[in-house]
Amino acid sequence: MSTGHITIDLDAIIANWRALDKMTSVETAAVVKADGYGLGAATVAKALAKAGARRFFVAVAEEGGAVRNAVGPGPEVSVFAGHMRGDTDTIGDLGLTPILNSLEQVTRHFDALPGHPFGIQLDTGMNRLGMEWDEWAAVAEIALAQRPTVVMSHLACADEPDHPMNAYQLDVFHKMTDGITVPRSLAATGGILLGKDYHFDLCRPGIGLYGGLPFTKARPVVQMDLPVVQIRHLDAGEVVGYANSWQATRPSRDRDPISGLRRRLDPVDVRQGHAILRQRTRATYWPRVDGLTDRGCDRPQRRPACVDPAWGSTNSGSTGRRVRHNWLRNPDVTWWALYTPDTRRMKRLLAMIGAATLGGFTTVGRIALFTASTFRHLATQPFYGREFGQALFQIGFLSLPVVGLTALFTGGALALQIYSGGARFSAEAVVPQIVAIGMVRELGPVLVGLMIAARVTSSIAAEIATMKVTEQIDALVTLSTHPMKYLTVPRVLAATLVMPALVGVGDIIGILGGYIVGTERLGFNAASYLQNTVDFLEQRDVISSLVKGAVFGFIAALMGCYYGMAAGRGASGVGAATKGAVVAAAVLILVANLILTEAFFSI
Amino acid sequence: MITLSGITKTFGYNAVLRGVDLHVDKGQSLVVIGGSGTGKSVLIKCIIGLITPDAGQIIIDGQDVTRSGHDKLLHRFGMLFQASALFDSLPVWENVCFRMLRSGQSRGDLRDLAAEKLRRVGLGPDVADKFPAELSGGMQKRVGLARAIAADPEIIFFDEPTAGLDPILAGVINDLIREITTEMGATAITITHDMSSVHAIADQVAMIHDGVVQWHGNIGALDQTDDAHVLQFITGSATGPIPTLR
Ligand SMILES: Nc1ncnc2c1ncn2[C@@H]1O[C@H](COP(=O)(O)OP(=O)(O)OP(=O)(O)O)[C@@H](O)[C@H]1O
Ligand SMILES: [Mg+2]
Repeated sequence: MSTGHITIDLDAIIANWRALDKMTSVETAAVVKADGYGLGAATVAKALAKAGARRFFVAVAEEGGAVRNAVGPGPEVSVFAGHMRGDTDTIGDLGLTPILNSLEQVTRHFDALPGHPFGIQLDTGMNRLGMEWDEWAAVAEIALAQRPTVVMSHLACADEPDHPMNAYQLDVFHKMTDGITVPRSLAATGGILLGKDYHFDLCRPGIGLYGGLPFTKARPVVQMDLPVVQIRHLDAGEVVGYANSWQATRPSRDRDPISGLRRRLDPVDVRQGHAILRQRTRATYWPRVDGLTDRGCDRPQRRPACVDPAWGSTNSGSTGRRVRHNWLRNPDVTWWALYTPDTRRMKRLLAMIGAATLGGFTTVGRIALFTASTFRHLATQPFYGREFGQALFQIGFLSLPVVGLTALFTGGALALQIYSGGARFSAEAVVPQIVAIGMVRELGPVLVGLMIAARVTSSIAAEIATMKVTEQIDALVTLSTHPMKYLTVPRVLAATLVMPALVGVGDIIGILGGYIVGTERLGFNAASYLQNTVDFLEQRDVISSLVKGAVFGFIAALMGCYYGMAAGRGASGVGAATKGAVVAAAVLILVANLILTEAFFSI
Repeated sequence: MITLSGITKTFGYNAVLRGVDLHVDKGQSLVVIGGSGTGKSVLIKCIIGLITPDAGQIIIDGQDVTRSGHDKLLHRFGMLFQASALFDSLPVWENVCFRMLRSGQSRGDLRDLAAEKLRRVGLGPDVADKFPAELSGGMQKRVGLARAIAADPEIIFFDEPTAGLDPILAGVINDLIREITTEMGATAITITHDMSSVHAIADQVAMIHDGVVQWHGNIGALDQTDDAHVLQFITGSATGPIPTLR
């Protein structure tokens, strides 16, 4: 047996919560940060929710999901780290309550999720998290007007009841919060034990729930069965582990559980291939996690109090609602994670890369399905003629000014470029021909396509996304109207049909721009300029231009519709949809342009 | 007419419905009450087919629509959305008569029909040519109501029909809903937070809490019940089994 395992007694966690709850007359939350101090946040939270806990605290927003999932929508799940950049969606979607720690977070929260619940953390001297005097003075009025769920602070030395820091922090907390009508919270496990003065409106024990100090009367929660790889003899003064983190004060006996335990957990020995002693030991052990500004990969608590040797006995009779962890397979157990490379972080990174890749494929797949569905609805009745007519007008007619202007100036600039570039090898005379080819084959369709992506795609996406978030799309469905038929088909069809015309106009005006510059600035003869242009252009050039136009129009409208229909909730959903649609349309138009150019002109 | 069994729906981590069982007879008016955010709107959207439940069965008029879909039934439904959901690109009268726009009737006739429906919800004919954005919230709500009843549907869903209305208009709307069910024999499911509406509209009352139907009974039984959830809801007390932080 070379792996150990740990037994977690959920009943004991519940009993500890109840015991701590009994010590106060106020509400008692439960802190399940750091994955429930390594014991599985979801499992612990679920058990405590059943026992009656209505508020949970986690360290960071990512942890909120598991807890929200476990406890359902009712209970409050608060996040100590507050509203960090990039957390908005998580906080909003999961209904988390960020405990805002700074002016910056307050601003971010009010901007991104107005009306969404939040708490406030103040710093009363620990210098870990929270706002200090000046910051708090600046935002207090605005923040309190929004009714935070709690205003809290954290005690630095609550484990030591006599420490003067406790009274000092209590005093500061009073000064910072007296007179406000929002619930206040100062006490974690240690604070509860300090007495009534520290309880305020809400207590939030963490370590005590898991049987850790300073809650000495706690029921042990975690029991570890683990094999000892090697037992060392230590003389007084000998040191142990990385950075000599522990020094023996007395000679150890042969089977000192402490050195045994330490050695077993330090993988160095295993790698160096020391002799392995097959001896089983059992120890009761309280893992300890130090929250947010952790000193990185710290050791578990060093106090011998956390090791309770009970030699020789075999596995505990695990009964009832106990959950068994195999801690080699389940690196969630905190102290195991502390002693090994951070496999969870690597896993998470891999998972993120995987998810992003999958997400990309999913989008491509969804767009393909959406396209197929557009064609299906195009082919079947009913067809909404009025909407089609309006779309023609919107996309075609109203785009003419912008198309004309872009083409005119680009055509003119093109003529200048070709003239000065051509002069390097005495080819100034080809200006009319190159302008014609450049505009018709390439610049006309691409420019018009991109302008349409900017103008039409964005407005389609914004319009449909707004309809989505204001439930107008749902309303269409209840009125027996298929949104694909009513919204997508008319727009996509109109764009596909009208874009060749727009491109044609763009081509002509572009050539006109070249003509104006050519005759006015570069001294070309007006009649021969036009003659050259007409003679030089082939039918294939023009057809390719119009086909490109149709394809780009299809892409532009389709992207607008797809991203609009796929919009998330709220105003940010509309913004994201518009952005996504324009970017996708522009990129796809350029890709399609390359493919079509290859198809038309590769021979 | 409508029977739900074991409907569940979860959004991400948010288990909104956790096994809803409900039944409404033809011609009956069911009122659904329950705290904000308990999933009443989601429930209605499941019945009408806008949201697909994760599990459970919905039977409407003998047809199991959970699998076969709602398409064939949609013309018998009417729905008022909580936020009205008017089409803001269309004038009010086209919103009201949206269903009939393609029925071949002349636009003039339809406009008159719209004006008639608007009158029933207490809106004058001048409103007909305005655009939704030009109306107040309560007016939009009433246009939404007119749209929901315009085609004389057999099954109607009202999501908070009187929210945002003054007491006089709320009374008018309550009467209208009552009338639609008693005179036209329609089946109605109404969500409301307004206890006077409950008494005016309901034959049956169902209270949703924690994702299930916490209490279900006749309107007469509502005031007799000793169910703690219902009592807290009726009295609007801050203390009780329903937490105020939601
Ligand atoms: N499309 C959705 N995506 C994600 N979550 C949703 C969605 N629709 C509803 N929810 C969530 O489901 C829960 C119930 O919403 P619902 O709109 O049904 O509440 P309600 O009971 O109608 O409340 P109210 O009385 O305030 O209207 C809410 O927590 C809401 O955030
Ligand atoms: Mg609702």
